[in-house]
Amino acid sequence: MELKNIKNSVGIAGKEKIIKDYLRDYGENILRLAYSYVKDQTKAEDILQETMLTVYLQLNTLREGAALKSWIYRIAINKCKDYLKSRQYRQFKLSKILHLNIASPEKSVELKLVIKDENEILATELFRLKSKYREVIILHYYEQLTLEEIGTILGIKPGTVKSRLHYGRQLLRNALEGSVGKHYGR
Amino acid sequence: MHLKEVLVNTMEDKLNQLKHILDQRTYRTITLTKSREEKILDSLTLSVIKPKTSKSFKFKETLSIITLALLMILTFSNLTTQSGNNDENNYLSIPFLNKGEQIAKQKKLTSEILRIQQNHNTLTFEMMIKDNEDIGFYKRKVEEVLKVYSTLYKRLHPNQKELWEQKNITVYLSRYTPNPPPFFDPNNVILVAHKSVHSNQIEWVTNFHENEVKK
Repeated sequence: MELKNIKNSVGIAGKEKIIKDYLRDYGENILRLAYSYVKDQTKAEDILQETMLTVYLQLNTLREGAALKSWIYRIAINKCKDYLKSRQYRQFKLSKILHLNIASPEKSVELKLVIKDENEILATELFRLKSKYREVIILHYYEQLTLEEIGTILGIKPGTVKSRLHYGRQLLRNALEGSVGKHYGR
Repeated sequence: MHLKEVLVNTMEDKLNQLKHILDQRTYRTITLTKSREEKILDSLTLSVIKPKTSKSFKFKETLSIITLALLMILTFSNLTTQSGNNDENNYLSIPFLNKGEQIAKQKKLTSEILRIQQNHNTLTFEMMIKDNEDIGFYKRKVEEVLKVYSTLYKRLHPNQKELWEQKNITVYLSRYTPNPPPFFDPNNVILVAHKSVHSNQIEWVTNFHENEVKK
């Protein structure tokens, strides 16, 4: 939706309609983007909800000419990063670690026996990358955003995006080599 | 060709198909259902799109930072819990996160909310503020905090009465200090906001020490 339309729809009903449209247009993508950070569906849904609340509250601050998608993604990503720094997340992570540690060894063996196909290995290794490399890869290859757009969303220079993308690919390549060796014994 | 080489050499091709790969696998179950979409819209409608009509709770500015802080508060086990660096004093400190701190500074807001205590009919907490703003500025901020708090409370306890109908609420606004004292210091208080149970009005004690009350 264009900014002109937003400004014309300052009333409650207008804003409600805008939020509905945004949720329809970007909701699922934001949910998935949030999941790529927090790796928990329930929390990703919470972040989507908080993002839409912030979008509603900040609707009037959106500058003319500003890219709507980048703006919404930036809000969502900031919320993900805030959550990842939070005490709540650290507690959640700790409980997951504890849960994994008490899992039966038989189950671990079973899991190791699952032969993953190459697409699954790629997805798994991508989600194991450090957040700063994973985010640029997802924004570039999944969201099809340009280096400039990614730079705007993350608040970094396009050159930095490019170098993170390069290094991220390199890390992914190394991880794939290791992963393939591990899974196929080579 | 060796499987390992094939996989690594075609990584760029695979990355170009990343949308397809993730949609088919990792994101297969991460979908926004109609019911979830409606739930999000309902929560927004309840919280801000159709707010209470009380004059005292007009809600104008962006509250993301306050929302963030209060969400953190509400995710703790419950609000009757007090913890922190001083067991005797039941001290609860909620430092804002890095990003939050930046926004808080831009908005000239406090960086900490302290000493939250709640029981079945009262809620009190201390907000540290810089004392170089006019009182009207802080009044608006407290109204915003309480409004957000009420919204979140309602969302967490949808079957309970409104916060306003259950609790006497008192907010102590004290001078900002990077190392807050472990004990509540009345001499540090600049402004007190009090809202009695069932009332829509916030009483403002602008001179705490002389107990001068302004509405």
